[in-house]
Amino acid sequence: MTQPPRPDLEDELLALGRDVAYPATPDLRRAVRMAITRPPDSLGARFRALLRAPYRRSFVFALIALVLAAGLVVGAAYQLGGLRIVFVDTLPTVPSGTGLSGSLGADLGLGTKTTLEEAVGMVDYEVFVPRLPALGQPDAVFFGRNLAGGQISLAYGAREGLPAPVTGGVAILVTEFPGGMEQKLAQKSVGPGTTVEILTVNGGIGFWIEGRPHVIVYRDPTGYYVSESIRLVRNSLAWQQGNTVLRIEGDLSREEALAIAASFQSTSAAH
Amino acid sequence: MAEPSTDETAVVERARGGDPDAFDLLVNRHQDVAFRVALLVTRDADDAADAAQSAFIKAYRGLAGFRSGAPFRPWLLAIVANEARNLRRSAARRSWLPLPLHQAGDDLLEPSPEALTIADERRRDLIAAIDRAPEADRLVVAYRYFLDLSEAETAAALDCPPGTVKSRLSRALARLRADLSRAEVAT
Repeated sequence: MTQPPRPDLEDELLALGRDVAYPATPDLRRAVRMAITRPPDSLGARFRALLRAPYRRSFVFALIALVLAAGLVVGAAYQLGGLRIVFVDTLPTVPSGTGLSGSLGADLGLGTKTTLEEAVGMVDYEVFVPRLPALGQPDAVFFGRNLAGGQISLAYGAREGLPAPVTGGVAILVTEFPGGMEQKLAQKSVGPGTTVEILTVNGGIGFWIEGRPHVIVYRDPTGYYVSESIRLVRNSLAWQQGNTVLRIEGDLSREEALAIAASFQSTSAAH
Repeated sequence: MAEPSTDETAVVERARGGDPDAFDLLVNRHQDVAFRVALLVTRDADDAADAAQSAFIKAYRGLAGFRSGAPFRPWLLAIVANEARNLRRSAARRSWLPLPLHQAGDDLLEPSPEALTIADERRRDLIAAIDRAPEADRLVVAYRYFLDLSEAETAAALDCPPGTVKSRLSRALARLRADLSRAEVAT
């Protein structure tokens, strides 16, 4: 086959440029608006402020030592893979409850009480449930729409062999929301006095956070950064499994949390 | 209530005065180009969105240093490109232009299979040649031909003097032509 002469390179480049199907631009307005309407409080300023207090300085160095000892790479701005650790002096307010006061987990702001089946039917992401015999079925399931893609929470009350209930009668709380491979779990805020350990949980990156209250800040499916508070004011294990971000909260040790995490199975696999 | 002026200079001035609604307008107006400029540097949509978002926030906080009456877009794109460069992670492992292209020949009326094959081959050759080119060449070509940035905007995004864009582009095109010729001879 005889090829015709090559067209002008500039014309070819212009044509190529016209044919590139760029990924859709995420709408940045909301995230930018949120950032510019709150007082400037840069990570650097917060870190410097942290270092000014001697007791905090020792904590920071201890945390860095812990991270380095775990063989982790700490980049500029404390990036650990797709997640950034941000120290905060004041934690954002936990959302108030919207459920019926008095019932298990109703005051934790988890959304509407529902059944597991209904909740699973309302989301597009894969939902996982723990299959540890000691846990059994959750005592209450909540579905909330305060996070893009929807959030499912499984609340477990007092049981033999489980730690004592912490808040609202809930001993263990499991929270799930979408955060796929391209919607990286992007940022996590922890308060002073909290330690973070990076782990591999069920094949995905995980974070064991122990100590004081903290907030998870992640990127939702629409591209916005969203802050999501823990509810039980205790230790938590958060990890990414497939396209789902999962979190276990409770008065649990690292080993107990990992044992529960290891028992998670997809609800679609269960049927 | 009178509609606020949408003239860019006026909008920038309002934003500089601390009006977040005005800055909303600027974000809405420029987020497409900001995202794409960042995408060409980071080659990753998530990183590009992060870079663009961060750049807008920095731009807002840096408006005090913006020269009144100057064009806003080149100034913004300089910040975007800088953020993208800082954020770029593992870019070397990513292929160039990993973006779906519309089928070559879409605009032809009933193109022959031969014509489609030739067009596709040439397009693949061209993308491969751009892929082999140094980053500075790739970016100047992409900014000018893919994003249709002005010389001033290209210079800002490349962090180089505006007067050097033409010569950089000329050298990049010459290298691309030579590479394509070598590839054709080889086949």
